[in-house]
Amino acid sequence: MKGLLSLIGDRAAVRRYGWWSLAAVVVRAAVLLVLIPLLGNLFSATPAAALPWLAALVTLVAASWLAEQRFVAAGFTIGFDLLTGVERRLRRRLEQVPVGWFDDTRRSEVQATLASVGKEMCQSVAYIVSPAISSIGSAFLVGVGLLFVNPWLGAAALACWLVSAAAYWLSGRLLRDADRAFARSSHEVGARIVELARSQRVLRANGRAGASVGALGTALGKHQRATLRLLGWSVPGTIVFGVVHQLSLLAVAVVTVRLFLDGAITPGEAVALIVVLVRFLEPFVTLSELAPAVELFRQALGRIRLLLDAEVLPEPVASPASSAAAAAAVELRGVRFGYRPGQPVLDGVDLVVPAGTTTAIVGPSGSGKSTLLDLITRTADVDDGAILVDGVDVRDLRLDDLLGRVAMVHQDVFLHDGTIDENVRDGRPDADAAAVRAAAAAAQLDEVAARLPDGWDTRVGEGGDRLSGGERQRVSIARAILRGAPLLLLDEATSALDVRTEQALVAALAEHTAATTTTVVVAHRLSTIASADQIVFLDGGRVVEQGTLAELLAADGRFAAYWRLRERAGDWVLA
Amino acid sequence: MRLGLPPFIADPSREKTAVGTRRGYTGAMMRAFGAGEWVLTVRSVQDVTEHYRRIVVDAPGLFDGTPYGPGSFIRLWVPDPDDPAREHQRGYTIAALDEAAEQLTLEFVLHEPAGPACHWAANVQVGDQIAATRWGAPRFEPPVPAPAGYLLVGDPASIPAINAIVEEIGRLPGRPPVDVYLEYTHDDDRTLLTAAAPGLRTTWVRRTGDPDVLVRAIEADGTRDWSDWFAWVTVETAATKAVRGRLKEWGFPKTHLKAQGYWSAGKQMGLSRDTEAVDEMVEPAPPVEPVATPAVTPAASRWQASSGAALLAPLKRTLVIAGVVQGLVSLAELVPFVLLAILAARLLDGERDPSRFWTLGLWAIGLMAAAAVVSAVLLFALHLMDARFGLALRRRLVDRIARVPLGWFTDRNSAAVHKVVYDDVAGLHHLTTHAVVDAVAAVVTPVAVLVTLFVVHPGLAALLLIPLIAVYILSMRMFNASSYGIATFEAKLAEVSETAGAHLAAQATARIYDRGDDARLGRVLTSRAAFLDSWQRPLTGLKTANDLVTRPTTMLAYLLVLGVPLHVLGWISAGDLVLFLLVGTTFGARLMAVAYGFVPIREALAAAREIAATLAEPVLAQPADPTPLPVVRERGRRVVFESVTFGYDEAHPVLHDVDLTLEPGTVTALVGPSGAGKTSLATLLARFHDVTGGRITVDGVDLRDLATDELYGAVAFVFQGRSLVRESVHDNIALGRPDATREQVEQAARAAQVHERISRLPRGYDSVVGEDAVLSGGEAQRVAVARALLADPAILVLDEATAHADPESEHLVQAALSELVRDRTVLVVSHRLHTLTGADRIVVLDQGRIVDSGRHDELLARGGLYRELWDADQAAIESGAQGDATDLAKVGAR
Repeated sequence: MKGLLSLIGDRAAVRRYGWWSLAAVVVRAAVLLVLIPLLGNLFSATPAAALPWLAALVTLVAASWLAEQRFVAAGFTIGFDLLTGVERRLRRRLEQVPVGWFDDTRRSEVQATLASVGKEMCQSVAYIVSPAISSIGSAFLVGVGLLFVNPWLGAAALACWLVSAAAYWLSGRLLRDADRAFARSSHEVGARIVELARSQRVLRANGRAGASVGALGTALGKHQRATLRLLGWSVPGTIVFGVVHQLSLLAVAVVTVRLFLDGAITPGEAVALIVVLVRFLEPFVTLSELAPAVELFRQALGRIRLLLDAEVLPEPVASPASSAAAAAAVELRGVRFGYRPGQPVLDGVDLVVPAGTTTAIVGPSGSGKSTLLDLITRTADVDDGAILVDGVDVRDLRLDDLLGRVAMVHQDVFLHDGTIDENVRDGRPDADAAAVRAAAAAAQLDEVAARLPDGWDTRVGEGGDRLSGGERQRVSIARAILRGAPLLLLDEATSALDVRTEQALVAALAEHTAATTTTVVVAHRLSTIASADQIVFLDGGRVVEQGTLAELLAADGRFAAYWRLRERAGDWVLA
Repeated sequence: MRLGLPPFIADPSREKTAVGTRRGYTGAMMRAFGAGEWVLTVRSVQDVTEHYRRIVVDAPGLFDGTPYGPGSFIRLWVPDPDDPAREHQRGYTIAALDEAAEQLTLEFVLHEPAGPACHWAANVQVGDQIAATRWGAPRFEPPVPAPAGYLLVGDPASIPAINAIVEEIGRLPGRPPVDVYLEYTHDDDRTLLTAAAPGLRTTWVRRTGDPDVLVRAIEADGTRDWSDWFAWVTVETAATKAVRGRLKEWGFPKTHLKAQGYWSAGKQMGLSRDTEAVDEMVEPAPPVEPVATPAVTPAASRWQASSGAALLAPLKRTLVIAGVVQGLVSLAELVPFVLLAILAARLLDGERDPSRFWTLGLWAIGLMAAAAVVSAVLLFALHLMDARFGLALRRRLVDRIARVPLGWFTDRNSAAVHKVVYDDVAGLHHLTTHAVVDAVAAVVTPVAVLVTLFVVHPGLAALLLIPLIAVYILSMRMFNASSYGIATFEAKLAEVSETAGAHLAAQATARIYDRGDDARLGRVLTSRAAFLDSWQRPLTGLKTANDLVTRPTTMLAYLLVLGVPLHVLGWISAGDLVLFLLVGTTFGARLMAVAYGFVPIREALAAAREIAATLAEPVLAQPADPTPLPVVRERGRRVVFESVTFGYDEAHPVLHDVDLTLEPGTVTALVGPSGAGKTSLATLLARFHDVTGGRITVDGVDLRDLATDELYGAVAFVFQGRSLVRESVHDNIALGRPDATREQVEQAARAAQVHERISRLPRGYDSVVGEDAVLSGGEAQRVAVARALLADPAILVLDEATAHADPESEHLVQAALSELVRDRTVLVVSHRLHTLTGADRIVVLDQGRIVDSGRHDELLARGGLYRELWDADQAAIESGAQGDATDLAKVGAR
């Protein structure tokens, strides 16, 4: 409940909701209580005395309709506020959390949260929280009301209320662990199905695609056990709840009959009490039917908190005024960074990339090249030192302002399952059709679109799977061209292209980016690094050498050795 | 275009009515069910043929996001030509729709004598206005999975729907066949079918008035296999009936046969209830001899859809028993209330003997407890059965899809696979555990209550039916209002899930390109939220009203409003009234359960169909009696491609007539431009697909005659791209040989130059890929090489195996590969030609054909495509050394 409240922005709506809930609960209890004098009189010697009470009942029912309607409507408003608020905060959080926070599990949890949060939030308050409040609250007030009819009866009713509430809580409590295990196992099954679908070739070629041999088969078995366990735990809960319910009814019935036999109440009142008491505990049955929904809702809140409580990259309220220049110089000062303590990936890197120039980063695998690019876009914060863009520490820039000036192409391109056109347009969503087409043409996507059945409107499949690696890279480069950002970061951007296409793309990139663009490129093809303004050779997380190609070759140091090794690799022949 | 309407709302009543109710019962009911009303203004009128008129109308406010589809219709209130005070309701298909301009197009067949709608259309002027109602939107929705073909039967009246449907089918993948049979009256009617689809075949049949003429035309095509076809029949009522009857005989299941009479041929106007009566202007046709049509039964037509029921057949007995038990439980639950009523009656009669009360009370409590226990046990047993059934079903599904051609996976994303294996099976849960029990309870309890109450006091019991009608109308309203949105909501849900998945999978990119409210994820979320609000908010009122009407206290108040005066007047005894108050209050809620129960049942049946369809997917046939491979093996096995032809679908062959022999222990390289079919040819060896022509043999044995284990024991693959699964590094290397020891795994890793890297992982070989083992492309590739080394196959297929290597890695991957290819039969695909010069044979593929083959020097000497490819490759390497135009680093550095 507290978790829920903390997610709601509109306090006035919450207050309104609170007042209407109180009104609805009070009137609902009053409807039931007014039956006692009504029936008591009806079944007495003077039944006509019941008529005023009947008028009161009709009035109260009408009032309860009004109150409930307002109560539910207020609940929906809160629910909808919750939905939009939570979605926006979740999405915003996605942009602020360091990329390293995500592992496979968290990623799929967050995906499930984003997918399901909508309807759950929207309906939760109106259809789960409100009925729960209404049920428990009105039953309690009926008990209180009965105190005035007869203290003994009222006390018995309140005791029953307490025991029923405890039984409800207990049966939920009993299920919780099993429920969590069940959710985990469904999750694992889901992840394994996705893996089965996406790695089908590998699994099949190794004879591991079937249910009896693969990880999915194992996950299904575990899921089955979790299901049975959950089922097993639901039995005591159901029994406890059922027994308590029956005993409660029995208890209030005994008290009623006792009172009647003692002459404390008239036969008419006794009958009236039977009618009321049968209804009195009914809300708990309603509540027990809601229990699975309540549990799902609780879990949804938990998943939402997982992301909302994640630590974010700190951002200033506003970026310094100077940070919107058309060019962008990049500077690294004594940058140290590691994904795990004691294992530095970058170990004191100093580097200056003047605005409008190109720097190529070269080095063996694991030397920290990609990490360096990722730190410029602040996927994580440096452990020590600083990264500056145009003289401003990236941590003093709003992420929107920093990333708004960057275009980047990664080696493994992952597209979304829209059309080629839509994927290119992501570079600058407000671009006109001509600009999108021009960027796509520059990236040699023309011939790809011409080959595909629906041309530019061909859907690229999940992650872009229907395109080849090279085609995906072309889409990604078109996106970067369209973006037209002052800072261009290329991480092995053309590694999957054949040589002819690569030549064309490199020319296109040169032609379609502004002369003021600052470029940092990680590449391994010698052809693509040779004419950089400077080449930086990275090894073991440090800058080992730095200079133009000619300077570095003349120095005959690490880079020259690497160059020769690469040439040998170029000469490698399979067989 | 005329639509037959459900009888209870389609009554152009004859009697004169007041202006306010000039639409009579139909109008009142439709308003009650929540149909809104709009005013359409005629924008243009065009005569397509002499007898066919197209009218475009402005329809402001009609477009509220309700999904439209081919066949969606609108109901017009057309004035009675003789009596302007009356209006008739007529359904017309929306022929075209321009949402931006808020305009829609309706089409009318003009005939004499004209019915009201025809009369209106014939005399309409631009600027005229007409009222319209939308109620329900039955649309053409092809069943899932996609049918094998579409049989459409129509006439000029249903042409707008047929046109829209043909166009829709034309947009579907796979170019399904579409057979259209159309009746026509005038020769120029034949110009009305304007839509086109790749597989369209049209047959025009002259209308003779004989309802069987269409049936005969369809039969005239001889015995056909209609397996898994979908039929849509919308012609004159009698003809529709005739066609539907015959198609049913042929086995078309309900899901695959949509038939609705659009109009009725009749002689007198207005007599038949729902008839735009038409005196037909039929060209005199020769009287048709009643030929005894030979019973043409398309042999062995079968529909996968029917197998949904078969899937659930094993559960049937259990479910019947469950239903019976639940019926008894429902009755047992009722008895305590009757006992309580008796107890109350005794109290009021002045009974004072406590023992009487205790007996009754204990019986009541005892029965309640017993019912609760039995009901819990029943649910538990059903859940147990469901859990077992679900597991077995999921295993069967996984085993099935492990054997379908790989194209099944490329045709759908992982979410679709997830749906079939997980969600659809979970969707059956409701059916197997709750649906039957709920349905029985929902029927037995109210019926038993009503019977009891009718026996006790028929008058008051009859009055109980009034709130039931209110409940019914409210739930229909809600059902209508909410069903509008379901399809849209599901589409939005899928969109959010996909977008979020893509965002998260490529977060480093997404945080640059997909940030802010206006970027993709933000837009998709906002759009879904806006839709949810517009869809759900109006529903809350209805839902609450529903809830309040059915709430026991409301029914109590209703009963007391009636019962108190009755009792005061002495027309009902106290005991009887108490019985009403105890049992007559809850069955509104029970009935609601029936209404709600149908939706999940329908969903579950759809899920069952989907599962059955997947289980019936054609698989790569496993040999009943596999041929073993010869044991002898020195340096690899011989692989022969004999006249191999292959295509992912019949229309688009990828490989033509390929003959190729891989000699034992040699390296064969496949080269060629993108899209030449290199990868297709290489992966045929993995039997991810079967050849469409010719055969592939290993040591003389056809791949299709090999046991799966034997095939994958003999052939190993190193692909580009995703090659690791979320298992430990050890298990990844031992993927094909799970029994391998750590020593063997390490040895393979060493040979693949990746042992040292693995040792540096947090948990070494036990580190789990994607969790604590984060490997670069080149490292992952070396793990894949280690896997192939451990598998030690006779035949090895390398598909762009060095594509993902980074510099240092590339050197190591190369070393690993050199180790791997030794003494095996190797088929390698690469676009890096300079790495292939040492191959024993280089095969040049172009557009699915082998255009050249030989050793590097021979090919180079011959010129041709290989020479071109080689020159480009060399140019790149050369220019790289000199740093000319291919220099990526020059970007922005001018």
